[in-house]
Amino acid sequence: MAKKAPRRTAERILEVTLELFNRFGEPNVSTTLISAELNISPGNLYYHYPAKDELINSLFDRYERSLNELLNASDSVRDVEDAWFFMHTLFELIWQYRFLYRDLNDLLSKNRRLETHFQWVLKNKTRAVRSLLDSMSRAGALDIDSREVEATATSMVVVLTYWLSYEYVRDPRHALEPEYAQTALMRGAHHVLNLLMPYLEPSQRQHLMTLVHAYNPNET
Amino acid sequence: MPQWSSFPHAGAYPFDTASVARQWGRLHAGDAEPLPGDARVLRAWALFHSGEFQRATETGLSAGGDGITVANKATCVYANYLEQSERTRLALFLETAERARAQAAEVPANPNAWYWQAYALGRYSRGISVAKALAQGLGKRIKDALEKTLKLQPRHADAHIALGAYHAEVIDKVGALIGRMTHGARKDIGLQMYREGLALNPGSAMAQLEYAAGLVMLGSDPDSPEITRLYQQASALDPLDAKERLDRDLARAEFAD
Repeated sequence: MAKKAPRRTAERILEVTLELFNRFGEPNVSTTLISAELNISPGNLYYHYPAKDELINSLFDRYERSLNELLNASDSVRDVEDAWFFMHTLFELIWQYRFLYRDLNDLLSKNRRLETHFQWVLKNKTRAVRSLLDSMSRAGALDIDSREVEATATSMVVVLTYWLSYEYVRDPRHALEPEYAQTALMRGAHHVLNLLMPYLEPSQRQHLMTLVHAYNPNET
Repeated sequence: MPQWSSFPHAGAYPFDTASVARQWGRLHAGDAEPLPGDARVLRAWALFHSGEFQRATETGLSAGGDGITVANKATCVYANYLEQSERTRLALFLETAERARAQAAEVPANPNAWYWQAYALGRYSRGISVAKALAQGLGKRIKDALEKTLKLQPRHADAHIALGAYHAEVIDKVGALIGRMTHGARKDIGLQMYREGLALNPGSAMAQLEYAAGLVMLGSDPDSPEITRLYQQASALDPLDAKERLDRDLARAEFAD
């Protein structure tokens, strides 16, 4: 019998649950399906996660931790190239935990932890986007009136947060399948950054258009 | 009663009333239940130890008296290890808690009437989220019922383990300070309870699994040698009955691919 560190089972449960939540949506995945997929007994699943909510909370905690680490890097964004990379990394993280965004309202209505913590997620995202705008302004890539920063940051966060819902509504059967990830994320990053267009320095504006075209020649 | 899922190793632990009576001390080292005088209750226990949890419940209920304890244990074991639906599982725990509450009201000197009330409410609380359960005042009911069990039967190993789990769960979910101030939860008492429970029943895989989970909740590194050793010990035990087999399987799954 192969000997593994005990917590390996708990880890495996989380990995498989994340995969199932992402594919089918959290409301459509029961603990029965999770234990069947892992080929473990219900007792084994309950030992580590006595309720589905515990699985949701553990996955959310991981997401929140990774997100905060990433958002802290926003003040080192200097130009459009950095911003493109930053947004893309952010979208990749959201994609990894897309079940949270797919059924966000449903999750918020039944899980108290998410209800309170998602407000922090939004605030942290807005704070990070504001610091990205400040940092780009300081570096001379952006010229934005300080009175417009707040509204622009909020608009960017709204697009960032709801982009996958938009993709899902456009094509519910395919949008959240892994093979569509790349294009969906590109479109998201593009549309978030597009909100900066009016404020970008001409060379930066040109560079953003070049990046969009290079990564996705079908979009302009 | 709808059909319950079967014990996955049906027939592997065949018990009759004679073999249950012969091995009573070892089989009940955890719950300290006295050997019943009523033949119907002993039949219910034979079904329980064989893994026929639904028939054990039905037989225990129809016998009444101490038979209620068999029904409560069989229902909790089934709900905890084998029931697939989360909703049914919670309903079974609530049903048991209510049955045990009525039993304790009728026979307040029966330690297991208090114990199964606490166990069922504890598992129910984990199922709905410990924070929510504490807000509903279930924490106090669980703690009081376990302390009552131990007052009536100080050698109740399973109640020691469950009380250890109470302290660990509360601290894990609400933090040491609020846990202590509001719910009387203390890390040192929790650890002491686990250790006393294990000392009373060292051959229990369930006690080792619970202790391992408790140590993690109280801040130990999940990969620490102590926790690995607990899982290894639990995996190596030779199960005497169906319930012990379920615990052993659970421990082994921790090491499987």
